[in-house]
Amino acid sequence: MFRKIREVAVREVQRIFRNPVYLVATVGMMTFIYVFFFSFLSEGTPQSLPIGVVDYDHSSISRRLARELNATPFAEVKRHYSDFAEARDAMQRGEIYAFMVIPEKFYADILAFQQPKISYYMNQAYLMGASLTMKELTTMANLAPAAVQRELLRARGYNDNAIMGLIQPIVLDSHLIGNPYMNYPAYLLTTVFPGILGLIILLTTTYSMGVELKHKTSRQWLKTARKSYFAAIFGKMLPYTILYLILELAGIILMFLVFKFPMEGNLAFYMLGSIIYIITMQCIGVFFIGIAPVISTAISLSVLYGILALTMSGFTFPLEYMPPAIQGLSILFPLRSFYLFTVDTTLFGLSIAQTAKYLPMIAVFMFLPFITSKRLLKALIHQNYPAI
Amino acid sequence: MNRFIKSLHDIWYVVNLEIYRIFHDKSAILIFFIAGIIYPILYSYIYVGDNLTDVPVAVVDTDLSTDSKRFVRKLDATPEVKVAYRCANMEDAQRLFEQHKVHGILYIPNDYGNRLASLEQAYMSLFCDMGSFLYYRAVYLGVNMVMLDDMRHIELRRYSALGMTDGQAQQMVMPIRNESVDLFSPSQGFRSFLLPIFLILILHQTLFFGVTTLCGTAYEDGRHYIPSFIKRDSIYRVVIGRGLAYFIIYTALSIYGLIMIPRLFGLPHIGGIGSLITLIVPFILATTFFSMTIGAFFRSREAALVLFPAFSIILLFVSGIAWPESNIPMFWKAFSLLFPSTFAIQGFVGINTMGASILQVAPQIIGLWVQAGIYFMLSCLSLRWTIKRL
Repeated sequence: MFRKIREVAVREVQRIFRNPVYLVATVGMMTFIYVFFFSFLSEGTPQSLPIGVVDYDHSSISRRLARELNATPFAEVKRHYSDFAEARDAMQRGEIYAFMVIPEKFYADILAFQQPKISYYMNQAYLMGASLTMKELTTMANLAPAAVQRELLRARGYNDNAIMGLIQPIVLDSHLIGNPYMNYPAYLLTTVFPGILGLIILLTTTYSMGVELKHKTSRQWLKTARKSYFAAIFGKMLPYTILYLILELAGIILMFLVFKFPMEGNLAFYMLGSIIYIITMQCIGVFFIGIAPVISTAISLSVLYGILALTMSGFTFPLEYMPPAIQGLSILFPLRSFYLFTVDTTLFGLSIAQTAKYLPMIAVFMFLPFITSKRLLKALIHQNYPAI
Repeated sequence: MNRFIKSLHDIWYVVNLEIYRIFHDKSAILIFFIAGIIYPILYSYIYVGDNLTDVPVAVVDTDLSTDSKRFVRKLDATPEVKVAYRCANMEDAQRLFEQHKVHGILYIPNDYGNRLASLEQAYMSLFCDMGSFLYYRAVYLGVNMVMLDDMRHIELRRYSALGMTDGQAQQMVMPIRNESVDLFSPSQGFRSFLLPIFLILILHQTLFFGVTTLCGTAYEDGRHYIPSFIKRDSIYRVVIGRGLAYFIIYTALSIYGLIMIPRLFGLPHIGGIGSLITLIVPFILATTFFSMTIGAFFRSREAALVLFPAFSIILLFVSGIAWPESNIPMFWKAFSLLFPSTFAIQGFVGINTMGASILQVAPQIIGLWVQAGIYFMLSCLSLRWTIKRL
């Protein structure tokens, strides 16, 4: 049995080097993905987002407000606009994410206790930009009145301690569990990378088997395995398993060791989970070619399922807020369990005993190829499906 | 003149031939029509929740004073957050957090009420689930809104205690009022933000994969599907003919995906239909010729579909909406200009979501026409190259 597997594996390695598609689709694509995301997100969470100021007052205090806004990490005053229409136009062109309007007689009204109003306009069509600038603008909206209050109270002779109790009676300290510095790449990439690798695994698995049917080489493949179906499948998958593991390991090293993404839990156990995830995805690929032993159909199925998996994992938009029918479908995607496993391990730092439950939920898909094994074997022997 | 009529005749012949090829290719039908029609509906349905409301949090109120109870009551009343559990200690709350039953914990220490009563600063702690950015946003926003509101309440009480009249206290608490206005997508929803981007990407990617599949098939069949009466020097007629065939199909799909879907599924759609069409025409042309340029390099039907699906995610990021454009490194910004999806997404979000005029999205529309022109010439060259190769 061992020799049969080895011979199929050797045959597969030769095939990999003969056709550039295999290496470009795996090593080439994954390398590009790593280079792309780490350079694209090198800044981390977006900083200094462009915002605008419409200052109708032109007083020392209105200018100070704009300066203070500029000093916050997420926002940067890109331009001063002469009126509301001009700022709104800049927003529609996508030049700024938000702007602040300071009314006329602002300073005079403060002094006269007329309670002037500052308005903030946010462009919610750019969710990410708007969310981050909103944080700064909300802070500003509260710091500005507090600064005025402080001046007024000092004038009345209160000391600084009493003043703080008056103007900020509640202090809230926020703890971002597992990701204290709001490392946006860490949140994004720990699921995007396995998702994309999963997609690539499905595509190359269905391609490598489908192409044997298409070019009618499947009998020769079975012959190499000396008619052992198991050896044929296992031997063919093995070289890719090693390749995917190397790619996954590269990702883990980059994420947790080079770029120091949060890893509160056990790294070795996380790697075990990754290995199980990779082999599971290969098995789903074999299952797909079994359902549809026609190369283009199996590949289309892989694209559909692989792209959808990223959405269904719920890492961007939480699953609980999707329609119930869609929530139920999520059990069909191992990336969902792998995402929960990742959160529990890397962010929550839960123990092996607490996170082990996800591994069988991923591994259960390894049984899928057995369901379609008869159908696939028949197709390999009789080549009775259309070639394209 | 004769020559002109001849070229029109040739082009029309190619249009018919290409449409025949499309409708006799199972994969092309699957990619163009099934994916092109189902994906917009599927994603509109998946994200129908739009916004996170009533995100469950646990409260550990060890104080149980009037002040802390009022705070918790207000928190429960926010649209963002729901107080799903009241725990006696942090251990219980932490367990719920680890089981993903709550996505935030608010801890109120037992001196909270006393500190407020003695005019000191009182403290509370918030723990946020960072498993999803949207959990964090909802919990952080909800608790902060309540805190700001409650602080005003407490401040008023304190100023009154200092002997100010209600009016004076009011002026002291709010020397400056503020209002925040959400423009263009008042729900702040995730669907209203993401779907317009997806709608463009779906058209871009299905057109790309459909065309490259047809190109690869031509190579495999050992034929270039070019009528013998078209000379090599008039190869542009083939490119125009094929382009026109895809253009006809994708005009219909764009009207469906970009005009009908937002109106049927309640997505933002404040743009004029005339402006949308001004954007859609160069978008389809640019994407068609882009796909034909790349398609010439594929030697099999499946090659593009095996190599490039992961690229969809990259196109999403470089488009400048999902990730703020101001924070995209220069190199990748230049890279993004290669793809029609970048201009189309920016233009579509501008017109459809923000109601921008044609003038305001002129850079994007011009960009698409420039791409259409360049990729038209490149696809003529790459088709000539394919013929030589066959």
